[in-house]
Order: sequence, then structure tokens, then C-alpha cells
Amino acid sequence: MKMLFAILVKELLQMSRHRMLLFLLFVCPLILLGVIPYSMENDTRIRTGVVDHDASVASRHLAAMMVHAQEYISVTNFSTLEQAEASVRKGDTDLIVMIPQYYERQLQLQDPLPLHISVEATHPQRAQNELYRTIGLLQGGNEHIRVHRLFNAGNSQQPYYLISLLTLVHAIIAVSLMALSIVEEKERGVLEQFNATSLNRFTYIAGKYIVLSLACLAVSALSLLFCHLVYGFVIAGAVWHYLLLTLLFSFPLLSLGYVIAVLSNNQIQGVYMIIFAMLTMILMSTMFTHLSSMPWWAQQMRFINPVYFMLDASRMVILKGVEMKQLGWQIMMMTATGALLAGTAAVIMNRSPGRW
Amino acid sequence: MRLIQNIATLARKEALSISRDGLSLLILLVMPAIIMVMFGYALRFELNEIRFVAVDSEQSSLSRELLSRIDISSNFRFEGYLSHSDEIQTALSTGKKRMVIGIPEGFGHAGPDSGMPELFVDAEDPVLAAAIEYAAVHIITGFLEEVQARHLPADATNSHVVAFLYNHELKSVTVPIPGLVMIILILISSIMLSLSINREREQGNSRLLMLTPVSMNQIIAGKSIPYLCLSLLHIATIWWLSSSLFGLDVAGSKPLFFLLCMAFIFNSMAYGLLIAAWVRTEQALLIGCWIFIFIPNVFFSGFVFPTSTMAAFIEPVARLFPGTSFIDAYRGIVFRASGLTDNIFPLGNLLIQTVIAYGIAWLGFQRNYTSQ
Repeated sequence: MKMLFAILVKELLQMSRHRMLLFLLFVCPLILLGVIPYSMENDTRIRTGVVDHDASVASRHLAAMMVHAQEYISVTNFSTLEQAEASVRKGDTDLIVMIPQYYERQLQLQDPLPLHISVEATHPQRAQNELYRTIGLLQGGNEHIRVHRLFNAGNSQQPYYLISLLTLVHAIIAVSLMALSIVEEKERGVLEQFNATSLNRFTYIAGKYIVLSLACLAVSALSLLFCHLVYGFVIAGAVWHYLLLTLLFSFPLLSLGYVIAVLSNNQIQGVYMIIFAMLTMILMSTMFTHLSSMPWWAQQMRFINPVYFMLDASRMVILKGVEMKQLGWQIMMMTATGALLAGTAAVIMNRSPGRW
Repeated sequence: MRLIQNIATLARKEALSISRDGLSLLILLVMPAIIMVMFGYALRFELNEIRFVAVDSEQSSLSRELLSRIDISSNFRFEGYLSHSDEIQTALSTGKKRMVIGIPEGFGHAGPDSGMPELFVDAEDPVLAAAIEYAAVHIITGFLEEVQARHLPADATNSHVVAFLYNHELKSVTVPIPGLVMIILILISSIMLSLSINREREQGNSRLLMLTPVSMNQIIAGKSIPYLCLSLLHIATIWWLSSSLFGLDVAGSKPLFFLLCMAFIFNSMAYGLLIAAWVRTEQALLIGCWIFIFIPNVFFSGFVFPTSTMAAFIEPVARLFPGTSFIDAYRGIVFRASGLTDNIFPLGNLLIQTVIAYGIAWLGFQRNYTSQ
């Protein structure tokens, strides 16, 4: 117990004397949270080009409708389709509406000509969104299919992605700190010196787990407070449930750091392994995609990915206000992956010859 | 002559030290390929068998036809009926089903009392909800127009002619690939060089190096050459994989594509150096690179959210990020075959920022390269 206390003091002192690290841990996440959420709005801004072959009252009325609609930030007139397409190629225009000749005459004859709409589709989701809005506008207000969006009255994507950002920062900090602090001590020979003391490996690792998970908890709590004050971010469930989840989430992350530390001989290897492991876990975690869009094998990979379960549990607590006892599955999976990783690390460490 | 010799010696030293660390070299060589293949397939944004239920008050053959029409599409899967509209909220709350279609009485009847279907979508994830909405509305309107055409044999439907430029089949792989290339280049280039420089400083090699007649610029140049060679290999891998696996060949000029990748690699290296100049340990460097380079570029570059959906005042800021410039120019050159003049802004932005970041990094190294 005394030994554990000594290790805790050592870790805390080490961290508090590293001013740059403290700055990275406690100030940088706040800087990020101060800027990035503005990228998560759900605006639509369409830059349109109009090719008007009819030049009539009716065709000008169509163009004017787009000028007045809020989503169209610029409506440019082009005389030929080629010019408009050149502008699309340059990246200045997103969508072209071509009004055919005799459009007005046919409209008066009750036999309207179709409009030609071309949309830049290298980002298919954005293209479909723009097309959907444009067709809705041009067909003139007879919105016949009513759509109700449930569970998200403001239709904002900010809370959803703020959860991703909080989880992302937590994951990066926890894994990097754990792995590199052990490898650094290994590389510098500090571990060899510990070998000559009565300190055992379990106490040493336990000290790191305790200090680093508390540091991560502090970072998360601070970030949460910041989001609440600046963006009015509210947790639908209980706040301490979420904080408990973050504390729990540190366990698999720190264990992953431990595995990487055991496998690598120097910090460079450690860094490369961290990048590879973290990138895989982050991109596979449904942070930026939907589970249902992934192929089958990628969906199954979630069962070994604690980041997925953390996101899932946080979304439930924060967005839907689910109680802790309904999150048994997620909590169990996070603990299980953590235990598995920690066990693996311990086994590898035991087997490697000449290691403490 | 002396200059070239100095740089060549340093480059050789660096190449040897990379090649002697087998595990790092292996990760550096295969990581881009693995990431590209795995996430090129895994990161898809298309709807796939979204489960939906219906409240059908009409119970006619027409309403059943509509439901089966939606069911046939690969986007949706029909999961049965709800008996009453009060059950909609509970049906959606589990997250298993994402949409409920309400078909009112009088659906499909000609005349003023004809009822239109209603959609109830789980908007917990707004992006997914929007995609579901577009897809469902598209199918339903198509169906209704077809029904109308059955009643009025004359071609009275006024459907617009729609063309999807540069991506006729709306292949969704065009969304993740530019972003993945950005992530691979940004992480590897920013971290590789700066990590190796920082390591020499941490271990005291830098003091020895400063005793030799090489200058700071020569040290950086010499050390960066092996990493540039690795980056060339990464560009080749990325190019080959994206054209052979995903059918995304470079439509525009190939030298321009190469130029863009190189500009972006130099830019990432300069930013990596900038961070390395101000932190002392490898731990701080890694966290700094993730927080200052990876996260902002991922969120602001249009990889996750298109820049046109961001808050209006942040869009100009987002356009300044190197990642945004890279993805914009990548889409331009690879998909739309745009030329050099069309991409002056992104390329210029990358180059100017490289020079500025390198300048600040150089100043930082002047101050503290030999301090530990």
C-alpha cells in the first residue's frame, strides 16, 4: 500500500512537472472544443448556375425563386451549358439548372417542358441533399409528403458529434499517455532500476492506471463543463452516469496502451503502433459513419472495439437519457476488452526473457 | 558541393537507422495499404437495409404495392405493420427500426380528398435521418407519379431531367477515399520526420550533430530525404489501390495529382516540425500531432461534414485548413479533371502555409534544438 502510494506520488509529480504535457492535456482540448463544433451545424449552402434558354417571365421567375430562397448563397447566370460546366469543374458551382427554350409557351399550354438539373456528385450525399431541396423548391411549395423527425427536435447534429469529439480526445490522450510513459521508462532504463527495488510490476502498473484514468476523467469533466457553458450541451441522463462511463472507458484504453508498450522496444515503434491501432479503432467505431452502412465483416469488428461501445453508451445516456442499468451490455463489453488486453500484456511481459 | 555531401551523409545515416528498426519499417510500409483497403470498403455512407414499419389505414392493394416497392429497394427492409399510430414512438425508440410510414385513408384516390403518406424518421443521427428521408421521398414520389400516369395516359407528369456530373452512378466510395488519403498522408508525414528529429534531441544526439559543420537546414533536409522516399511509395500505393480496387483512376493530369500529394506531404511535414520545435518529449509530440493536426483537419476538411453545411462564418476558416485544400483539389483533379489554373488556390494555400510553418519551426529549433 505504501509502495502504491509512493508510485502515485511519483506519477503525479512527473506529470505536474511537465508543463507542456499539462498544456496539451487541459488547455488544447478546450481550444478544439471552442472551434470544431461550428463545423457540425446542419446548414445548406448551394451555389447555383442558371442557364436560361427561354429568357421569359416564367423562366426569370424560377431564377428569382432561387435568389430569394435562403439556401442558395449565389445564383449565377451562364449563357451556355458549357460555361456552367466549366464553372462546376473549377469548383465554383454546385448545381446547374437549365431552362429549355419555349419553357413559358409550353407552361401556358399546360404541357410543361422538363427542366434539366445537373449536380456535381463527387460527394453523393451532398448532391442528393441539394437536388432534393432544389426539386422541392422548383415544384413550388406543394410539399405533399410530410416528414416528422423524432428524438431531435432542433434537427441539429451538434450534440451527436460533440459526443464523438469528446470520446475521440479521451481515447487519444489515454492510449498515448499510457503507452509512451511506459516505453519511455523502459528505454531510459528506469525499469531496470525499479528491478533492483522491492517494487513489483503489479504496483507499478496499478499506479499508472490510477493516475492516468483520473487525469482522463478530469479532462472529460472539464470538456463537458466547457461544452455545457459554451454550447448549452445538456446530458439527458445523469451527469455522474456519464462520468462513470468515461472512467470505465479508460480501462480498455489504458490496457491497449499497456499492450503497445509491452510490444515495442522504443518510442518510435510505440508511436507507429498507436497510430495504427487508434486509427483503426476510431474509423471503425461508427464515429463518422453508420453501423448499418458498413459491410458485414466491419460490423462484426465492433465486438472487439471499446470505442464503439463507449460511443453507443454515451449516445444513450446523453441523447436519450437511458439509465445506467440498461447499459449492462456496453459496460460488460468495455470491461471484457479491457481485461483481455491487460491479460495479454501481462502474459507477453512474463514470457519475454530478461524483463521485469 | 559540400552542401550536397553533407545532406547525402545525413540522409544515408537516417536511412540506415530507419532500415535497422524492422518493426517500424514494416508498419511504415504496410500501414497505408491496410488502411486504404480496410476503410475503403468499411467506410460507406449508403443506406443498407434500413428497417421500417408501416401504419396502413388504407389497406388497399395500392398501399401494399407502395410498401413492397420500398421493400424491394436495397436501402430499406419492411418489418411489418403497426396497428395504431400511437405505437410509432415506441417502435422507433429501440433504434432497431429507423422509419415508420403512415398511409392515411384515401391514399391513391384521385381527387381532393386523396391522402398523402407521412414519414416518421428517427433523427437521433441527423445525417442518417436526412439520407433516409431523401431516399424514401424519392421512391414514394416516383411511385405516385407512376400511379398518376396510369390514370392519365397522356404524358402529363412533369419530372425533371437530372444528371449527376462526374459521378453518374453516385458511387459512395468517392466520399471516404479523398479523406482517407488525407488521413494517411497527414499522420505519417507529420509524425515520421518530427519524431525522428525530436528523438535525437531527447537522446542528446542533437548536441553532437551541432558540433559538426552541418547547419539546421541541412540537418532537416538530410533527415527528410528518406522519409520523402517513403512518401513517394505511399503515393504510388494509394494511387494503385484506388484505381485497381475502387475504380477511381485519376481523371485529370497525373503530374498535377503527384504535385498535389507532394505539396500536401511537405505541408504536413512542416506542421509536424512546427510542433516538434515547441515540445520536448515524444509523448507530447504525438498528442500534439493528433490534437493540432489530425482532429482539426478531419473535422474541417469536408471529410466528415461537407464545408457547405458548416456554420456560415466558419466556412472561410475551414477553407484555410490544409486538409480542406487537399480534399478540394483531390476531388477536382481526380474526379472532375480540373487543371492547374482551377486549383491555384488550394495549391498556393498549401505552399504558403508550408513556408510559414517551416519558418516558425526553424526559429523554434534555433532556440531550443540543443536543449533537452
